[in-house]
Amino acid sequence: MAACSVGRLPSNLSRSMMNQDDPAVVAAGAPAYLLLLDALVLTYPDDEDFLLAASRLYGAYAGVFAQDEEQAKSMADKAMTYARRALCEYDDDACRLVDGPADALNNALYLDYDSDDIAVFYAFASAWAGWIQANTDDWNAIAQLSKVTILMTWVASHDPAYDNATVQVYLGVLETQLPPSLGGKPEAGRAHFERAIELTDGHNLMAKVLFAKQYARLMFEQELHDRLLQETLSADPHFEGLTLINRLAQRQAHLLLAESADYFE
Amino acid sequence: MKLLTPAILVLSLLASGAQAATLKIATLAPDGTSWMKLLREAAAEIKTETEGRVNVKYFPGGVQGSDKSVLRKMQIRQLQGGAVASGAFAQIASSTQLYSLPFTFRNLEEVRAIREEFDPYIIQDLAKNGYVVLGISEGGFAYLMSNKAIRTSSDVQDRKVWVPEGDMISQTTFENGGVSPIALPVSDVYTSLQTGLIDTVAVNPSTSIALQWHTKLDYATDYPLVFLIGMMVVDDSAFKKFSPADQATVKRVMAATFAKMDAQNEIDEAGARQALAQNGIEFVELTEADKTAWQALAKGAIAALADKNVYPVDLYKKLQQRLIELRQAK
Repeated sequence: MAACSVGRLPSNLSRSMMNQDDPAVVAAGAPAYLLLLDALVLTYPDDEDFLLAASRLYGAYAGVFAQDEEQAKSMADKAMTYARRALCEYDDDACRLVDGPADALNNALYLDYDSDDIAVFYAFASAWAGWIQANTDDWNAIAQLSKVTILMTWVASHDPAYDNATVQVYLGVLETQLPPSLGGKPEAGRAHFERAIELTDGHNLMAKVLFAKQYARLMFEQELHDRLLQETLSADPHFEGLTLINRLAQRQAHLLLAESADYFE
Repeated sequence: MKLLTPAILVLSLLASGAQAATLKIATLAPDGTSWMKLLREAAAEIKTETEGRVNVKYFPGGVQGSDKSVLRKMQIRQLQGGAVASGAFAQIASSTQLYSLPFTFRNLEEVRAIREEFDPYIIQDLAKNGYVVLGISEGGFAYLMSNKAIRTSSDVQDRKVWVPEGDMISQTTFENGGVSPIALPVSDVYTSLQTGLIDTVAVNPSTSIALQWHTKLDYATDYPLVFLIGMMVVDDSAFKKFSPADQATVKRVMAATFAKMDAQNEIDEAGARQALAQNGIEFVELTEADKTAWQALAKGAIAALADKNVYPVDLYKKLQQRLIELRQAK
């Protein structure tokens, strides 16, 4: 009974955090919540929901509020460890698959798993993406990028609008890592960013900011870059589940816009 | 009025001697890489030290096209510089190919010992052609990577081997080994590995990971095939517009940056090699007999390339002599 009522805590806390208007409140409050989740995982070590909630929060904190590279790495590591434990609790085969060859993972996802499985795979892929982001100086991390793309593509094939279409934003970023001259497909990335904007009626502002930062900068399209950032800044950030991210997107848009002339002209 | 005119003249002369200008430099290297981060730091340092008279602006990620188009744009003054692979200068200054012949070097230590003496030849040769070299960068060794283990030249004959478009050295080397290689631009390699149009590439470990080619390959032949070199050059006429002091500042800052990039590249290549092994790539060791056979094959290719005037033969002989001396001194 106690576990049952505690069980709703991570998702409710997570929800109230994502709807928070002031990133500073979350930055100040999140560490206490991280400790609480650590304690919950210690108490209920096999509980997938607690493991996933802990992974999500450590991952978000690493990506957004970490003070320096070392802290980001350590938080992303923890997010990855929790996500892996959750996935392994969920399914032994999946646990082995993610460490195997990319082609085998791809084939198995489409043959053996369905839309009921996307929550755990998406959480794992998000933690993995965050871990790679925090470890871009490690070639072993970069070597695993294609498996994150495989997982996210599979999630989007079941639910294109998953997580307020953030799955499309991940795919947009993944597809804009390389310019066309090196074999990248930034146009595929652009399509994902546009899909995220369309699926959320323009409410996912991070989609616009990363569209500008990743695609417009890579393709040297200043007009598109500045327009997307202006739109972000003039938009209302309040939207269920996206308010905090949108506030952070607006903060980033300011910085990117200020660098625009320097980058493009 | 009479007093003013000479004063203005002096001022304008001073101004023309120390003009503020931008060096627009393009490269295929994507933004955000450690390479580009170091180059951006160098640009900021140059700007500060020259008090804004020299502004270096980069166009990363191939937005100005291939290495070839970058050099073309330099000729029509749309760009003042480029950071390109040494192969881009094959038709302009043959000495740039000096380090790029197959199986010349056995390890990085040899490359560095040789560079000290031979870089100046490359720099002078490019200077004669109107290019100022701001840096020569090491890209590490390329290895044969394939979806089958390659030990001997007959193993490679069954493979579908990629060579970079227009790369005479790679083309001749493989043809000499009885292989008809498939020439493609870098942009097509990943897709061609996916479709099976090619199944074998010669690439350095970090590039194989950065471009995710490693996901389509299973083996690496553990014998360094060729050393990769890149160069940052600027157009001589644009560079001369800066005062001698500013020119010296740019050269000094860039030289220090390229030294940092070489050190970083060494770390990257070692890390990437380890990552390949961790991610399922098997490094195939060769016997001494296999190595000798590859060396013999390379000798034929190098002779064939001499007939095509691809590299300066006498200078290369001198380089080989130095290598013999280095190896004997050990």
